[in-house]
Amino acid sequence: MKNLFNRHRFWAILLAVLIAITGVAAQAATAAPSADPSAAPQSSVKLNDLQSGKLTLRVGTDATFPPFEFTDANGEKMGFDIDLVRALAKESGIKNVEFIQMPFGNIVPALQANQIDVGASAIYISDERAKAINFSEVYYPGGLAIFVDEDNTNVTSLADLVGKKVAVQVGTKSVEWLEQNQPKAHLVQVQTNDQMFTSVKLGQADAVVTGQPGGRYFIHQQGGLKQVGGRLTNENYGYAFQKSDTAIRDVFNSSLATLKSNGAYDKLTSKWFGDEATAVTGPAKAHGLINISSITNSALPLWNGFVTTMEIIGMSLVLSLTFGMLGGFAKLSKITPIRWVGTAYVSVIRGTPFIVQLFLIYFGLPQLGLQLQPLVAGVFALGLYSGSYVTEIVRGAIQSVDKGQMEAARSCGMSSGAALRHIIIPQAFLRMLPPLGNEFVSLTKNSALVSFVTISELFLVGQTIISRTFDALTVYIFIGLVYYIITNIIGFIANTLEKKLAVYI
Amino acid sequence: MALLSTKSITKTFGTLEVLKGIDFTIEPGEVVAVIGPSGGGKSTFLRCLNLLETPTSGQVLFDGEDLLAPKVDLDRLRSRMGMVFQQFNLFHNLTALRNVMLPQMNVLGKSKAEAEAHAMELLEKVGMTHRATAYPSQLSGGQKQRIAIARAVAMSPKLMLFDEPTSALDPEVVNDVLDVMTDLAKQGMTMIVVTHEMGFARKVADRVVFVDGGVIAADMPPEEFFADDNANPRVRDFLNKVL
Ligand SMILES: Nc1ncnc2c1ncn2[C@@H]1O[C@H](COP(=O)(O)OP(=O)(O)OP(=O)(O)O)[C@@H](O)[C@H]1O
Ligand SMILES: [Mg+2]
Repeated sequence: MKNLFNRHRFWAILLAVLIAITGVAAQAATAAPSADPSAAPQSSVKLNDLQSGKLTLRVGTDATFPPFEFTDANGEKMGFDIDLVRALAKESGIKNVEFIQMPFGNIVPALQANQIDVGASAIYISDERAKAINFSEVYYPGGLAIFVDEDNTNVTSLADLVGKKVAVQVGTKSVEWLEQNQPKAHLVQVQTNDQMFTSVKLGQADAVVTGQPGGRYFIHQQGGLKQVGGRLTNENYGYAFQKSDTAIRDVFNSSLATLKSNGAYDKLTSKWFGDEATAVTGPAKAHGLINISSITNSALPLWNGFVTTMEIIGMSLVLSLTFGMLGGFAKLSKITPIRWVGTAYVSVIRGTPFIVQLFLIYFGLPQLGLQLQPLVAGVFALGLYSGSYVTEIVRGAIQSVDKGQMEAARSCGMSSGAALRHIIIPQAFLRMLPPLGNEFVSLTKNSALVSFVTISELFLVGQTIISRTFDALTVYIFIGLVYYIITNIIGFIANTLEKKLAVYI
Repeated sequence: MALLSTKSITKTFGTLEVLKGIDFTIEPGEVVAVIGPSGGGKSTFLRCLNLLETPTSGQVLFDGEDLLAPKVDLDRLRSRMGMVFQQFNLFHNLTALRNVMLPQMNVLGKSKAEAEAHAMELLEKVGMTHRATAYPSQLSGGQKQRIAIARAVAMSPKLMLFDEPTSALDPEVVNDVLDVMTDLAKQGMTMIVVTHEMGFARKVADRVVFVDGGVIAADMPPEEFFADDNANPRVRDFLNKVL
């Protein structure tokens, strides 16, 4: 229990760093220069073109936020916003709608630059945002709410959270709000949306404070929890439009009123958030413990993640061997400064956590003007880290070769390079194989950590699936199994190679 | 002209002075047996001759060249000096045949076919053709040492250095190796042999050099060296112990 808590803290801190940095990036993006507003086309003309099918309505969204907008197993965008925008467009007589994926922080700048016509991404209506863009009427009321286990009877309001463990997602509004409004709650900060709910189910926390729609979605999908009390805050969701445009916004507003009165809107809310009744009392859906469909429905993204993981392993393995060879020979060099470099490399890299090195490379180097692609940073960090272990393996193996071998080669007139190439390294390599096999197993396992620099490898794909299905058990078992198979194949290859090469032993 | 000569070479390991000034000369075609008590510096002396150990001071001249000169091509000079070790030091990762071929190809630049033909010829001479494809781990000590000799001879050296080539062998195979060495001597090979085989020193060597306490304490033909009336008390003492 204590361990688990510490582990969550560890991840929480890491994620905090991540969010801090992405926050900076988002700010930078918002600060991007906006296009000349006069360049935007006349809106009524534009609406006519949209209605005639001459133009397509461009909708910007960050499809990573179920149930509002997310990407399904086949890469298809779906969710409440997606359905509602389609319905509103139809009601407004707009023929063609196109959804464009972009980071949340880019939506406002994209509207300002006339790259999109609508921002539909669970955007809270705020005065600050309203300065840059126009909002539609409220299309969904949101705000923070308390969720507890469905059998819990002793938490019914904010006041009951005194001394209780409350799960919150790190970096979200809940954290700040609770610190101000219920400082006597013990916050359990977790990394992902689904971990909040899971920690209540597992008894690791007493309650969750999170956005009401997200909580309702979880209950709708998984059950086991219930909302207590009303919303703690009122933050309403609206669609965003270009400042210069009022015609499209106005037609959306009147269509929204129509859908609300004809029942179409209610159908959508109950589709995505559950009916009010079921949302409060619990699940309709029965879930087994292991759901193969969580895997099979996402076969394609999992396969892509697997391929990426294999690429990462392959590339960093090559890099690791290169660094290890260089390091090993540096440590054996007769030249003192070179030896010192080898020693410093091993000592620094082995003496600091991998994740710190990874973040330093990905987030720290840009401050020195070196901006690496996530994949490049991840592979480089893995290769560098693993290479320090390979350095010691290489050094040890070469030193373990009987020095008579070198003497015999040199006394035949062979150069030390030739002796190394033909005699020493082949013999050392055989001795390296078992420890190298172990090291590459470690490398494979560490490769899951590069998900932190946004590389969509197997582990991150798994987390994405869990954020949609909440099926942590099945997905993590499956992913663990895949890693288990990869590491065993590596072990098998090392063994086979060793047997093949060991003919002379 | 002497094939190899040393001038007052010394060798110090830390504070231990192992060689205390050795002057030594060998003429082409000569066979010199180096004997002496354990720890007297015989191996160190031999290893100073092909610079496996660098002498602390002094001079080594081989084939007209100064081995300790700053820009000397040591690999080239070493290729003309074969060395045979007590522990054989065959390349573990290569077959017997490959052991004999590799230095020929790598150092002398011979083609694979040439090297192989020459290697088979020499394996034939040492009676090892039947084990040409065996790895060292599959061979007995005597077999390994005969292959090691073939490997050294394959370089067509001007001088062969042997450091106790039979000390690690079972008694019954010692003669196989000594026979090979005797043949070599008969063919006119110049040889320096550190050995405890007094019979070999007596029959095959032209000179016996007695190394004791880091100096050459005696240097004379074997008849004189092994004579009962050898005047040197340390030699008499040593011979009494080993014979
Ligand atoms: N690399 C070394 N470092 C330190 N001391 C050494 C080294 N090599 C040899 N010695 C020492 O030098 C002395 C002479 O050693 P050496 O091997 O030359 O004697 P040896 O006459 O060949 O003896 P043996 O008959 O036992 O082979 C010994 O005391 C030995 O411990
Ligand atoms: Mg010795």
